[in-house]
Formats: sequence, structure tokens, C-alpha cells
Amino acid sequence: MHEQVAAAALEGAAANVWLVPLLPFLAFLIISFLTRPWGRVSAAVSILALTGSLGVSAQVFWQRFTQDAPPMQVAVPWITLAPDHPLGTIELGLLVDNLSAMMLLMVCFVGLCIQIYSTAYIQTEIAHFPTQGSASMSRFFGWMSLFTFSMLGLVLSHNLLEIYIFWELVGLCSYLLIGFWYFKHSAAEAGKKAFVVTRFGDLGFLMGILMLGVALKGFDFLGLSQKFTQGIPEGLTAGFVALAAVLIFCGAIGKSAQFPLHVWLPDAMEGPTPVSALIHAATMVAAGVYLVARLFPVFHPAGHAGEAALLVAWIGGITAFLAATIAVVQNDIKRVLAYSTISQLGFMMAGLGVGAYTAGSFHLITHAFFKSLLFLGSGAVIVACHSNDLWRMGGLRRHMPFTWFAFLMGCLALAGVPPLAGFWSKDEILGYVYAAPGGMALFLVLTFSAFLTAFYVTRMYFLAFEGPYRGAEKAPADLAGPVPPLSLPAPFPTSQALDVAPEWTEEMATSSQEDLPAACRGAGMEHVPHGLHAPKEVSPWMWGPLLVLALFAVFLGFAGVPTGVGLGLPNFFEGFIHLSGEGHPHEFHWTPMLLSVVVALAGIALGAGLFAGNPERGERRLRSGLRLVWPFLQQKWYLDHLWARALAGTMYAGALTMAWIEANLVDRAVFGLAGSVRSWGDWLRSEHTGKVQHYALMLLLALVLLAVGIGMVEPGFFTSRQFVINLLEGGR
Amino acid sequence: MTNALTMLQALAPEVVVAATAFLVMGLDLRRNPNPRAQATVAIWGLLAGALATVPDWLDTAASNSALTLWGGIFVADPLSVVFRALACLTGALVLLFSIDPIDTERRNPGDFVTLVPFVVLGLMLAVSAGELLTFFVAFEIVSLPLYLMAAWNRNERGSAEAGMKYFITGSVSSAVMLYGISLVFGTVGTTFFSQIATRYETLADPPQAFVLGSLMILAALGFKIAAAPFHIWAPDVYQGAPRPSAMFISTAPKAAMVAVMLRLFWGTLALQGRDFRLAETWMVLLAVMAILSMFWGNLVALAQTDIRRLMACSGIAHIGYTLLGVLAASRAGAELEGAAAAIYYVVVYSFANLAAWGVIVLVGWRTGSDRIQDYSGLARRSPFLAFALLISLLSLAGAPPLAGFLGKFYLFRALWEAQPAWWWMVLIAIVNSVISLYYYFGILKPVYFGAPQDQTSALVVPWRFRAGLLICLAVIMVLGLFPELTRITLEAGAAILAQPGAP
Repeated sequence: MHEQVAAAALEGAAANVWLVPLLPFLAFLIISFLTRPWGRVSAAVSILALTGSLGVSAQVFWQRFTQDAPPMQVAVPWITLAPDHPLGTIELGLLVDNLSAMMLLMVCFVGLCIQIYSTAYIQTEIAHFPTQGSASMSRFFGWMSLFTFSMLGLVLSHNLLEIYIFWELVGLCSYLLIGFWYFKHSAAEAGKKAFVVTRFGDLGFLMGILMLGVALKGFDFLGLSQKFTQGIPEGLTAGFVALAAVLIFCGAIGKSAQFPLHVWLPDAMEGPTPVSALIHAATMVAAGVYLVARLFPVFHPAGHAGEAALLVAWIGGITAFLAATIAVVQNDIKRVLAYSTISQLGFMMAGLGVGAYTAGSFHLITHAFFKSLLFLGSGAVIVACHSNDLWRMGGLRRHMPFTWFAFLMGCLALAGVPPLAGFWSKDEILGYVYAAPGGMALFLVLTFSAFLTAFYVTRMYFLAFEGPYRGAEKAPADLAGPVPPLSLPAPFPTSQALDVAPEWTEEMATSSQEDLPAACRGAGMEHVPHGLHAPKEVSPWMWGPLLVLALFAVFLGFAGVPTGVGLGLPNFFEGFIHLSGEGHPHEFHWTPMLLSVVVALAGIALGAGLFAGNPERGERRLRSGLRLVWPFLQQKWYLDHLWARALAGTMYAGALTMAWIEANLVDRAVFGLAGSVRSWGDWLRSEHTGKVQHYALMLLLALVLLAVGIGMVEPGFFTSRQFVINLLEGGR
Repeated sequence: MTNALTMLQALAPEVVVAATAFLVMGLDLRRNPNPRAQATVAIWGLLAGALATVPDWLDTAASNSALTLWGGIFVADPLSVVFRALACLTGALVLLFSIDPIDTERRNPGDFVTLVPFVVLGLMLAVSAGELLTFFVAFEIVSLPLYLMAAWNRNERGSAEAGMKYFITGSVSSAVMLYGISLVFGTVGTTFFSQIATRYETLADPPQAFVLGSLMILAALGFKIAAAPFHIWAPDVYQGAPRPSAMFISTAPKAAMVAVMLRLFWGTLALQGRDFRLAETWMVLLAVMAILSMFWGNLVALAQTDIRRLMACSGIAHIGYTLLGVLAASRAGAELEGAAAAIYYVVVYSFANLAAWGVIVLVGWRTGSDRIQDYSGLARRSPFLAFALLISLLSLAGAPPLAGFLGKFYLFRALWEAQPAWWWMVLIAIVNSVISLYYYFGILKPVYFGAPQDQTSALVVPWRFRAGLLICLAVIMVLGLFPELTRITLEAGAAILAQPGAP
């Protein structure tokens, strides 16, 4: 803000970049105010607007790709604080650099695929609820548009405060869309949980923003980055910077569902599946990764990983491992994918933490494509089978060939099979971690997570698509059902002396079918009579986008093939997204690459071995092999319970204290004050007698009183000036 | 000497509004007058008047200059442009909100519609007057139609009483003002604002008559803006007068008179004389009026059960806040910020107040009641009305991110920066804002959480109300979200400095 940063103004196609977020926002307004009764019209408006955004962002991307231009930005003053205030003017602006241009393209493209898919998908969900109709479809597309606007605004944000605004906006949209079927108790609770849990992180984020912004007198990204390229800015200590960075990272922990705040994301699967694909796989949860990438120099002053970066790396590693273990035991197809998303976000964070700016961003992009593909595929599967439960699926390969093909591609990409997209990007992170000084332990953790990833993906694939179709009838009763099973006792009674029922555990969410209003009974897909007929392929509106995304899941990886592999391909991605301050240029190592291929194949082999022939037997063998840790994994490492206890308990104790203070100290003071204020009011009111002669009299009386007052203040008003002068001089 | 073209440009808004007023009056003389058509004509005429201020703005704002006519009788500077446009918009919105109830109740709707442009014309002349007598005439052009409008439902006791009270107390205040003007003229021998200051600096002795005279002018202005201790008429009149009239009385004249105060007291009177300290005296007076108004308005509002009386009290309190801005503007070195804050505040107040009154007019018209308890469950009967009330009252209460918050923020900041030793006044203002929250939420609570009492049917919002409310809400939100738009008012504030005779 104060310092001139080397940045060009917006020119060329980038001059139109403001259209990119604006169009979805207009769509939101049009849908909310004009086309609400007509769901299909709303869908058309939303898709049309997003297509426009996609066109503009493609142009912007092409401009950035073909020209080697410095970052471009434009900003207008928003709030002018006091003229001599250290922060001067807070601005709103747009920042277009390679990173944001690429993110724009990704968000618009994936968003468009998802919205086209949703036109068909959301109607199948609406059909479950007798009270819901065309207006619900409008509501859905309106909020999707609002979300897209917020996400695009977040990507284009020019400073920390602006990104915070959009950060909260995407959080709000996430809340609204998770609780889209607001009358479903579980959905409403899940939305609340997501909102509250992420807010914990956002508190730290805000504090970090203020620390950094006030200390460095400015919030804009380019200026901040500039100040850190030569190391810790003058006047700041390394500890201060590390603390600010960690606080900012807290926001990313919440938004990107990192340990220990990852607990909201699996529950967020209560939202309609396209919402999970867009918000909870491709875009919003990646916002935390994007934020860390944006502030990369703050975490890595002068290219050297600071303490905060170490924390980022390890949080990422722990998350990747923890979520991968839990994904192994899930039965709900969407929850497998949710834990997988958490795990993959952990990979990205770990990469950014050890300094792999390019690799972390690359994995963000490839993951967005193949994970949204997997989510959309799971949505198609759910529509066909009327169930989320993997044990009620099976054999879908024969029934839904298009979905099968796309889903398989997504699975292979996620498992890290060469040469699909996920392989290249994940491998690059692993290679970087391997090469990073002191990164061996992290490398092993991540490699093991990659093995688990391949394993649970294979399990999911075989349960859903291979073997015979089981349906509700042939589902093995002891294996199917919610995780953790209702029979599995909680580690400690959740209702304790403090009387805190953990309102947002999964047990409650799954057992809350009874809370549905009578009109919506049967809304849970489990209750829909089915299974007699074989599942059939979904409409082309749904598998069409799947195939498009599958194309990317297969081929996108070639954009970032390390040059050392010798395929003769230039590393487009690294050429486009790189930091001048990115420390040691990535040296290619064969060891991690071969190792990652080996673990991926090993995971797949183990999964296929267990689940290819007789999945029930395989699952039982797996369970007996892991019987010591199985309940532990089913209970999600007890973290939900722990947070319920720790957070809710602490808050309840705090609330009790505050309630006492409120009742005994505040209320007395306030009521006393209010009582006296009211009685003053009553007394003053008695002046309003209603008699006009009193009013006129009071008017004149007031005038006289003021005149007398002036006489007191103004020397020489009642006396001559000379008299006053004499008086003053005589007094001396 | 100005040429005819300049004159035409400077006067264009007044010409347009005057023509509108006479056109509307003429339309009323037809055999079968159509009041709604008249109102439409009047609204478009007033909007055209607002639009006609744009050339003046372009001419004067950039260069911080003023177009003066007839040797300074008429001044078109950015200050006057802002308030002339505001008067036009206020008049148009009032018409938008009032034509439906007035026409339905069949009480000479055509005459009512005719009076509005006349009042607006008076307001426009008052804010552009460069001379005391012109101002007084304009002041009366404003007052007389308003007396009539207060007594509009003359067969109703309340309305007749309100009109009578307003007329009598208003006449007293006019007399006081005229007396004040003559005292000022008698002392300095001129009524031109630009010359008063220069003459007054040359006076040898403390001019008691001058001080008393300007105090009287201040009192009369204080009466018009309902500032304590000259506010006593306001609750009775707002409650008794027909709701559309009360809406008009509570917005347009207040804004214009604040502009006049800025021009008159800051531009010419609050000067450091040779041997006396009139500037400090004015500041003390303004501070007294501001603090009294805030406390009186807010405390009495707490006890109200009638929403119209409550709005009267809240209006008194808001004038108190505004006077703090005028006070800050009176201090050398802080003129710009103080004036800008006061102008911004009064503009924002006008729109928020219009929105709140729009709801009051509609609800009163449909239910016949103004008791706050009858607003119970309004959110269920009409979510839109409840939302409009919510936004407007929150803006009045000063909740971010609405414009009312920024208005208060700018005011308090201006006051603080004018004189850090006035921190206690900032504190008083903040305490008062807190008190005001209580009664605003006292309305909103039944609106959102109360059950509808007897009438549970949906309240239909006619399109005129919908349009008017949407405009007001848009202004409140846009000004709040994009505070840089206030640079417009800052420039208007700056322009007063450039006016001839200003300090």
C-alpha cells in the first residue's frame, strides 16, 4: 500500500478479469430475485454465467501463459482510516499472476462440469422430498453461483483482508450448501459443525492477518512477499514472523480440514454430492493450500523454511497419514472420498511446508480434477443404487459403463498409478520431501500414506464396481452400515457430569432419521425401496462431465512431468508456476519415484488380493488382521469425542462462569443502570405536557437561558469591554 | 457580472422544481384530477431537478469554487448542490411513500402532492441563499406548507392539534429568527454572509446585539431541526400529523438546516473576533445543544410505546450527533473533516429515516396503529417490510457494515481529531449510541420474534413502497460498504472553505 511494488496494471485480457467473479454474482442475484420459481431457468442462468467466466479466465490464462509478464494488479481504496493511521488506506483489488490465473481456470472449469452434472443430479435428490420442488433447484443453483463468486473473489484477492472477507463468504456458502436440506437434522447439524469448527481456525487467521499487516504496514500480497524475499524484514524477529505465520496457518487448518480441525469435513458429506465435489474436494478446501502458497515467502523467508513451514509440513504429514488410515475402514463411499480428500490436502501442505511450491500447487490442480471426478462418480453411483453404502453396491461396472470408466480413471489417478495425473503431482511432492534436508521421516510417513491411499481406493473400487450386485438385500449385515457401528461403544459416555451432549458426532447424524418431518420421511436414501431392479446408467448430463473430467485425470499429469524422467516433455507447469525465491531447484531423484510406483502397486495388489474375488471374506480377513486397531480407526482415532469433550467441556465451564458473572455482576449493574436511565427518561418525558403555550414558553426560556450562558462565557457581554479590561488589569 | 447562461445553469434545478410545482398545481385544476398521475409528474420533476444539479456540481466541485448570482444572494457551490439534490430526492421518496395512503383516504390528495415540490423549492433556495433575508424567505416557503401538511387530516383531533402546535411554535421561532436577523443587521450593517464576517472583524466593542442576534438565529434553526432545548414540539407533531407529513417534517428540513448551519455559523460567525472569543462561545453552545439533544432524545425514546414518538425522539438524538460534527467543523484546522462528517451523517440519516418511515407509513395505513406492540410478528406478515425496518433501524443505531456505522465513525473521529481534549464528548456520544440500541432493538424484537397479534394476514407491499424502500436500502448498504464514496461529501465540505468570506 505504501510501497510501490513491481507490478503492472491489468492489461490485455486481464483487464476484463473483474468479469470472472462478477458474472456468477449476477447469476446469484438474478436467480434469487427473478427466476426463483423456475428451477431449470435458474440452472441455465447459472451455467451461462459460469461459461462466460470460464471464457474470460481462459483468455487470462492464455495471456499469462504466452507472455512472461510480472504479476498484474489493480486496487481501489475501500476504507480510509485516519490520515496518519499506520495502515493508511485499506484497499480492494484484483491480483492476477500465474497462480491466480491457473486457479481461476481450474475453478471455472471444474465448477462448470459440476454445475452441468448438477442439473440432472439435483432433481434426483429433490424427488426424495415431497415438499421440495422447482424452487429448491433455484436455491441450489443460486447458492452454487454465490459460492463460485466467493471462491473466484478469494482467488483474485489482492490483500489479506480481502481474502479474509471471501474466506468467510465461502465458509458461509459451505454452511448453506451442507445444510441444503435444512429440515434434515443431520444436515443442519453437519452445516453447523463445519461452520463452527472452521471458525476456530479463522480466529487465528484474523489475528495472524492483523499481526502481519500492522507490523508491516500493509496487507497486500505482493508487498508482503516482496518484504520477505530477502529474509525476515527489518524490525521483526523470526519468532514474531513464525507466530504470525502459524496463526495464519490456523485458518488454513480449519478451511483445508487439516489435523486437528479436520473433523468437520466427513460430516459435510451431508450436503448434496455436487456440493461435496465442488466445495469439499476441488475448491474451497483447497483455499487453505492456496493461502499458504500465496504467502509462501512468509513461511519461507528468503527461500529457507522457517519454523512455521516445519509445522505446516508436519501437520500435512500427520493429516495425510491419519485420514488415510480412517479411509480404510469407511463404508460410506462419500466418506471414503472425504477422508481421502483430507489426506491429499495433507500431501499438498506437506509439500508446501518443505518448500515444494510448484509441486504443492500442481497437486492442488490435479487433485481438483480427479477428486471432483470421483465425487461426481460417487453421486452417479448413489443415484443408481439409492445408497451410500459400499456394501450395497457391487458389480456396477456392467450396469453403468460410462460411470465405471470415468470412476476407474479417477481411482487410478488417486492411487498414483503412472502415468495418470495423481502420480506425477504426488510423486513430485514425495521427491521434494525426500530431497529436503531432514525430510526422511516425513518422506516415510507420506510414502506409507500413499500405500494406504492405493489400498483404500482399490477397496472402494472393488466393493462398488466388481463382483455381483448386492443391493440392500444381499448386503452383509455385519459389515455394512454406518461407521462407527452403533454397537461400538463410545470410548467414554458422551453425556457426562457437565451435561454436554456432543451435538455433532456422526453417531447422532446417522441415527437421526426420526427427526425428519413427517412429510419428508423416507428422505434418507436407505429407506427408498429398491434393489429389486438392477441399477442403470445415469443420464448423459451426468456421465458427460464425468468423461470430460476423466480426460484430465488421465492426461493433466503430462503438464508437469519432471524433466529428469526423460520423456522429452518440457515441464510446462513448473515453467508457469514457480517462485523466484524457491530455494534449491528441484533435483530429480529416481529413488522416490520408483518407491512411489512400488507402494502404489503394492497397495493395489493388496487391495485386489483381498477384495477382488470375495469382498466379504477379504473384509473379514482384513478386520481380523487389524482387530487391535479396527475400533480405534472406526472411532476416527477418538478425535471427535476428544474435541467434543475438550472443546465443549471447556466452553461449558467457561459458560458457567460467565453465566454466574452475568447473573450476579453484570445484570445487577445493567438493570440498575437501565432502571435509572428509564426513570430519567420518564422524568424528561413529563416535560412534554402537550400544552402548546408551555412549548412556546419553554422555547423562549431556553433562549433566555442560553443568552445568559453566553453572557457568562463571553467577556464583556453584560459589561463594556473597557470594564472587563480594567477588571482584568486591576486584578493583577 | 454573470452572463445569462451561467445564471440559467446555476438556477436550473430551482427552475425545474418550480415548474414542476406549478404544473402539478395546474393538473389539480382539471375537472377530474388524477392525484396519482400528479404524483408521478411531481416525482419525475423532482428527479429532473436533482439531475439538473449535476452541471453545477461539475462546474464547482472540481475547482472548489462557487457560482454566485445577483451579487451573492444566490450561491451554487458543492455544499448547496449536495443538499439541493438531497432535497429533491427526499421529496420524490416522500411522494412515493405517501401517494397511496393519501389518495386512498381521499383527503385532498392533489393539494398534498402540490405542496411537496413547493417545500422542496424552499429547501433548495434555503441551502443556496447567500444572504439572511433570502434565507428567511426560503425558510418560510418551507415552513408554511409544512404547517398545512401537519394539519392535513383537519377533521381528526390529533392532526389538527399537531398542525396548530407546529404552527404556533413555528411562528414563535420565525419571529425569533427575524428578530435575530435584524439585530445582526443592526450591528454589522449587512445581511450578506460573505460580508458579515469581514465587518464583524472590524468591530471595536463586543457586539452584544450581534451575539444575541446570532444566538436567536441559531435557536430558530435549532427549532427546525428539533435540537434540544428547542425540540419540545417534535414528538407531539410527529405523532399527531399524518404519517407522510411527519415523514417529510422529520427528514428534508433537518438536512437542509444543518447545511445552513454549516454555512452560516462556521463560514461566517464562528470567527475569532479581535477582543472576544465568539468562536469558543459557539462551540460551547453547539456542545450544549448536542449533548442535551443526544441525552434527551435517547432517554425519552426509551419510554415510548408509540413508534412515531419514538422516531421523533430518535431524530432529536441524531441531530445531537450531527451537531457534534458541526462543532468539530467550528474548530480551526478541522473544518474539512468535521463538515464532511456532518454532511455524510445527515445524508445517511435522511435515507435510513425515510426507509423506517416508509415502513411506518405503510403499516400505519394498513393497520391504523402505531403502537410498537402492533408491529409484533411483522416479519411473518411481510418479510420485506421487516427487513427494510431491520436495515434502516440498524443503520440508525450505527451497526456495521451499514452506512450509519460509518457516519458515526466519521463523526467521532472528526471530533476526536478536532480536539483530543473532547474525548469526553466522544464518550458521551458512544454511551448514547449504546442507549439507542436498546430502543431500536425494542422495535426489532417484536417484529422478528413476536407472534402476529390479531391480524395474521400477509401485508401486501404496493410497488411504490417496494421501489422506494429498495432505493433507500440500496443507498444505506452501498454507502456503508463503499465508504470511499464519501469523498463526494468531503469535497462538498472542502468547497465551503473556498466560498468568499470564509475563514
